[in-house]
Amino acid sequence: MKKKYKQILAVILFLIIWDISAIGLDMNFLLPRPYFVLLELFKIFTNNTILIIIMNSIKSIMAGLILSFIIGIIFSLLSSRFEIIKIMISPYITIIKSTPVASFIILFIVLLSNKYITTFISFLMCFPIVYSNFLEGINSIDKNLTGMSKVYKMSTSNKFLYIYLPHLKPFLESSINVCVGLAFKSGIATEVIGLPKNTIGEKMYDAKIYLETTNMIALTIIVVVFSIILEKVLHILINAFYKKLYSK
Amino acid sequence: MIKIINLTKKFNGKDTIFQNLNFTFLDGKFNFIMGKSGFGKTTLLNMILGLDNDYTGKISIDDNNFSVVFQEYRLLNNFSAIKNINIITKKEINMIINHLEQVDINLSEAKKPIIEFSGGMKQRVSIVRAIMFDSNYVIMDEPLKGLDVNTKEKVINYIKKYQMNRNFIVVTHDSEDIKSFTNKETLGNVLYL
Repeated sequence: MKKKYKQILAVILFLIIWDISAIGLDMNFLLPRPYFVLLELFKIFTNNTILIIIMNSIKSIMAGLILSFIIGIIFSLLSSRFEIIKIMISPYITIIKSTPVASFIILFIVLLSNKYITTFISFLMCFPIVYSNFLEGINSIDKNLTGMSKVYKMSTSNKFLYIYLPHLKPFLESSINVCVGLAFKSGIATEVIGLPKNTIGEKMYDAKIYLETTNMIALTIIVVVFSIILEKVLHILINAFYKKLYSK
Repeated sequence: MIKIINLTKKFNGKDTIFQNLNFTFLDGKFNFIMGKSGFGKTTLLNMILGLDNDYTGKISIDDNNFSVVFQEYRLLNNFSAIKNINIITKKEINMIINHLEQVDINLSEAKKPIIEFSGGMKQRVSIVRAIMFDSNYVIMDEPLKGLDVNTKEKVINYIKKYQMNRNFIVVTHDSEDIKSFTNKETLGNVLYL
């Protein structure tokens, strides 16, 4: 059986187990049937106000994600060139990597405006991953090729385009694989704790208070699906960019 | 002209590879470095190229403009043979294709990414890249290693055709290579390590 069919079968099996469990439990406010969640999803997509709320959260999370890639790449380049920057930055990276996300959320809710907290926490969670991945990528560049580029006096732009960029592709892809999901997870967690106005997290908090589990699952599905779509789109864009680069 | 003056090289500050080595590579000639494996031939080339500066003594070079055939080829695996040469030499595509055909790499092969090439093909692309690059010195680290007799002859003829009065330094194990590359007029100095 093809992989695709196996995956579809796994999803169908999951939905059947979910439905049987919901019928068996018979408590819609704790575990609704998939059919009711589907209806809730339909309701959300026909309600402009909720769509705006979803877009607010997605915008904040994506801003944090983009920022983490820009700043992570800049700092990895600087660290690969200047040992002192690498040494100076390493304690922060260790702290960010090992501290629970909830601690950061609680700490920065006090310091930052609610408006920027989601972007900041998403950035903070993704930055060490992007930084470490790219630093490892830059440090593992084939010394034979850099030696060749030195002898043949390759320009900096050509070195970047033809040696560094192709080598860094797997590191960029693995950063995306990890960070897109992480940005959404940490971003929504921040909203649930910090409760910035008109966000998915705030709606999820309300759903928890009023036991609107159907609504909470529907919102979660939207976040998960959007995160998967974003990851796929980024991979398609990267592959298209590299294909263009190689075919020149 | 490349002059080596009192060159001493030690590995890890202990094992001496060269002790007060003095040698001159003549301009416009084929110069050779011969010796067994592990006697420092590639190390010496790296020092001449400025890739290894951990030595005492002096290497005097008139104009620091090299092209090289590295033992490990050092090509960009994701790009075609044509692109590899074009990036470095900035020569026209048609001219590159013509050069590649002279070493038995046809147009359809030349368009394929290097990752799909055999070792022998990579070696020939690396040779064409070094020959086409505008340099005063051409350094070749075992350029004929592993080539079959017919290809070897084509590659030797190709290199000789485009010597253009440049200073060649060729590393080889085989003294027959010296005869193949040179005659009385083109033979420079031979360094035995």
